[in-house]
Amino acid sequence: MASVAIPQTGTVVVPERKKASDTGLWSWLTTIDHKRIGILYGAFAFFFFLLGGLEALVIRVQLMHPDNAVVSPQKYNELFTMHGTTMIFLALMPLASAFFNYVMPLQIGARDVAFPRLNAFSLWTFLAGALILNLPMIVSLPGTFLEIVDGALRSVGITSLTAVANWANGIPGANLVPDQGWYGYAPLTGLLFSGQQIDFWAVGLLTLGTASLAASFNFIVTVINLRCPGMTMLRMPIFTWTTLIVSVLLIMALPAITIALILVVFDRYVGTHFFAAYNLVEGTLVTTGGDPLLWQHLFWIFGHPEVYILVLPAFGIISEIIPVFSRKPLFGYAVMAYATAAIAFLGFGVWAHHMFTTGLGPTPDAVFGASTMLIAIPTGVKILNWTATMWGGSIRFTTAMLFAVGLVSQFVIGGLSGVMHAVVPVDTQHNDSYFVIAHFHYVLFGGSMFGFFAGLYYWWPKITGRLLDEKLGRAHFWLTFAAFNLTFFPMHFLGLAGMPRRYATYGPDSGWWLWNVVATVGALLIGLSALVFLHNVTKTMRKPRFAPDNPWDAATLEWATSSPPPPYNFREIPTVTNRDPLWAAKYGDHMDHHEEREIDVHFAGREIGTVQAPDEAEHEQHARASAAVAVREAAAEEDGHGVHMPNPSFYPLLASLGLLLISLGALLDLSWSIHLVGGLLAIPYISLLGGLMLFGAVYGWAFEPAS
Amino acid sequence: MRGDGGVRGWLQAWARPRAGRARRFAPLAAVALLTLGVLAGCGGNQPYSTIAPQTAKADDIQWLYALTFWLALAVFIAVQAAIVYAVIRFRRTDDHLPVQVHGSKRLEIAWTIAPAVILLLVFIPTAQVIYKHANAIGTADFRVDVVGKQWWWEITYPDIPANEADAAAGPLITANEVILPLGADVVFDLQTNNVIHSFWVPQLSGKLDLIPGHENLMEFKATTLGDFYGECAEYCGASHAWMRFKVKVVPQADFDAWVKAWRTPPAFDANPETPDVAEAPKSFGVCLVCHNINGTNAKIAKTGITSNPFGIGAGPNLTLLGCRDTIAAGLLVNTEANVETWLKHTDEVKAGVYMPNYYTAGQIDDAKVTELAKYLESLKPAGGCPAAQPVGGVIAPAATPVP
Repeated sequence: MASVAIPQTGTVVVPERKKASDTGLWSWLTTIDHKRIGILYGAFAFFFFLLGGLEALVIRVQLMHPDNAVVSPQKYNELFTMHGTTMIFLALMPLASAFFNYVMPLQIGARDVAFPRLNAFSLWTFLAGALILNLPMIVSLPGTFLEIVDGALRSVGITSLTAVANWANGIPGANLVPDQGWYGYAPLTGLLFSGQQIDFWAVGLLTLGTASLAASFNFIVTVINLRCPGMTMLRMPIFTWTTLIVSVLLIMALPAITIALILVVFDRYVGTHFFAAYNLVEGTLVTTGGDPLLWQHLFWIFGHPEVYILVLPAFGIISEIIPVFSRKPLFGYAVMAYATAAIAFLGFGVWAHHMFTTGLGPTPDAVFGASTMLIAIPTGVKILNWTATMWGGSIRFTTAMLFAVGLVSQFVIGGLSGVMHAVVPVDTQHNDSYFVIAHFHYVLFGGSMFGFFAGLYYWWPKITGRLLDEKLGRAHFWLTFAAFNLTFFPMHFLGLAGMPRRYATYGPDSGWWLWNVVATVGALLIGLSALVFLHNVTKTMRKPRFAPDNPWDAATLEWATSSPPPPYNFREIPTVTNRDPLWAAKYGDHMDHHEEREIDVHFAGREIGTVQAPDEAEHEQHARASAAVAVREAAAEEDGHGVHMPNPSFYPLLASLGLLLISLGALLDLSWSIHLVGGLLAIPYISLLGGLMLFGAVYGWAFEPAS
Repeated sequence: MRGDGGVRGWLQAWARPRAGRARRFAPLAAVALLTLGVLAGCGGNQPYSTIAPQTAKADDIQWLYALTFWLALAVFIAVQAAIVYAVIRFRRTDDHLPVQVHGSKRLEIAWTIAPAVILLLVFIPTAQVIYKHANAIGTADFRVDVVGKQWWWEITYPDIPANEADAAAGPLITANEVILPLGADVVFDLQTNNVIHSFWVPQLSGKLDLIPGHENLMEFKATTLGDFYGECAEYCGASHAWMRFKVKVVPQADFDAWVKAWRTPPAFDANPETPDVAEAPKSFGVCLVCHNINGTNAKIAKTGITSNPFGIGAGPNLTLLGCRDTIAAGLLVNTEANVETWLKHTDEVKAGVYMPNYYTAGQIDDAKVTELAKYLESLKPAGGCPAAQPVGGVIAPAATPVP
């Protein structure tokens, strides 16, 4: 591989040190700059990715041996619940948000998102929800690790740590870690079967949902309204398309889980029985008319689109990366956009495939089996279009490209096992077994996470102004690739051998030992690969190689400004006449290919609009666009003259803090009101304070001058 | 070895020059690994295997699985080959600008239609099997009621009375082991009144959930003799992993003998000082609130779907306990020593268990624990337990006619 990853030569200006007032803590707390918010999303998400990974490692160590007792069954149940919840809601979703925030406004040539302060509110509310969800886990983790060390010591006869471990496990709150699984099937979440840990889970997710909704509306308005002149919908970069579609998915999917969670809280504290078929009244079992299956329907109407919420952003990312490193435009651009929309749309019609073993009856089973199979079609088109993009190209294997191709290759495995699960009778064997665990890790790790790593390597120079080390990057990729397959491929075998998920341990007569050992070794190697990545980050922070504006010879607008971009992104809002504006400017007209738009129109079988043949007017417009792009060189010596950006604001943070206190107050007060019946002492002081803060913040926010 | 030594050097040296080759071999390695895994699945001792079917129903599922597996493998190889070929063939060699292709109407239509055709090929037999299995429920004639508990299974034979002379005595009830006569066309009535469980005997059938407020029916025809391992497949709380059971398919004569033995009061005289052999030992007094033993005075515990889900007054029926392979739903091998362990360390060995530990509570002492263990192990047929069956099944001998 002689010609790998040589960044474009270009004038690289070593950035000057910025003033403390621009980079201090206060500036980060009050920032409403979409780029900084994106960075914060990414940093928090990566922290939770590591935390969720740590939880997974304990799970894998526990399963390394039959009848193992590294952690108690209770702790094990807490660990898999928090691993799933953390990875989905606190790692993958905010990582997608990080990229949406940072990249999308740049790609559409905007100065920021439509509602910058709402954007900051989304970020801090996400953090509030994450805190609520993880508060018991944070309190419980020391006890868990002391318990593990103590267990090891006791096996060699040292008991001195037992008392400390018991003390740590007894810290108030340490026994409140959610333990009902990430999809919280009723009636395990009911008061009869669980304690207050469910409240932390439910309120945490409700808070996170608020953050996601606010962010999604923001992105939709931004994409619809703030595109630069000339950027028609069908000239938008495919990642921007993804941002739009995923945001729409979120605002349609989240209400289902929001309602479901509120009903859970009602069931627990208001005396309703939406999800409980039975209740215990004075020691007698009575039927209530509620139905646990209602929860499953509501949850998966959210939960299945959620899968696409997690994986489509990664698809969007690699749809940017593969063309750039193949030096070819994306194959079948419009079809790719439609396929994304089709997956999103069909995603709402397949939820019951999570419920094939609940006894829905043959007709629903067959119908949902068919609808699930349908999703394979647009997904297959995407896979083959990515391959066709590389076909005939001139491929550079940067780390970003390796991860992107890795996604294309590995997602195929997850996709194919997904089709197997649409075959209902086969699913009755695979459902809730390790075959499913293997399947969705191929989708969410081999898919989403590979895509996010690809995006990190790809946009890192734009975000930080520094290039990551490519040698370490390649080591990171290959280690991740090998370790990932070593961990999750054997889980197919475990599933076929009948190992159910969520088993704290298994008997020696089960025949599951071998592949569990292999998977555990693989998981430890995944942990190692994360360390390689962190090493890469710290190394290139200490000894930076500064990045030029467009190190990869990419085509989209984010590469038309400096690395990192100035707060206002573009000194002059660019005008585009082409889907790949920077390539058009650099390589000229032959990049512009008008026939292909016709293909898109007919292929989709619907009218998109009038297709214009290339004419004099467009050529003229095109020339102007090239000039506009060239103008941004001037922006490098910027001082921001004439660009009005909104002021930093403290109110979004204050509002989120208010929400945090309202939620926390509800949780704490609920426990008080349980213990101090009568209610007089259960006045929700904390919630009241939070409410006042939220009101004050929104008031201040509303009357704050914009700039 | 080159580079600057150490793990990092090794990683770099490994990653750099072989990136392409490793990618080329990746699918090959995956196929090899897959084959290995399938072999391991068939060859090893895997009593929960989903790919060693022992009923016609499980065969249908296996056939569908094989169909999708080979189709998936073909698609997998084709797509990986295309990816690998593309990344090797079209690697950058010089600074040329490739032909700027934006798409191809024909190709994209082709690879929209191709998967649709493949999926149709899969869907038609899928739908056929779904309806075939659903329709089979109506013709099954051997009924077994299963109530999922936290964390064990109550097994009731509603058509087999506990006492032929006394209809009020109710049906035959056992726990954690489903005994079936060879050839029975069984329909399981799956219910629960606590949380959701899932009834799964991989070699005999796919799984089906037990959902509060729902009555789910599962059918298969028991055509192979043997012990088949079953397990709970839906997370149901602390001891989800210890909710195992067995389906034992035995010759009809053995089944009849088992029913007869079940109806016969225990022969072991637990209280020699009293004339009544049907009386459980005095130490059983704390147990009989929850546990019934047929033919004895232990008969007040509640059973069925209306019983209290929290175990108070509704524990497993212990009739013929001495013949069960395990106690506590697969947690411990059924020996006298383990029964003692169970009685003394109930809550330590099974997380969240509803059965109180009367030993630490001081209500039974060591002597009584020993007495109880001896008594429980004595609950066997007069002629001893039936001979052990092979795990995973054997095809019924030709001499045994399969109805």
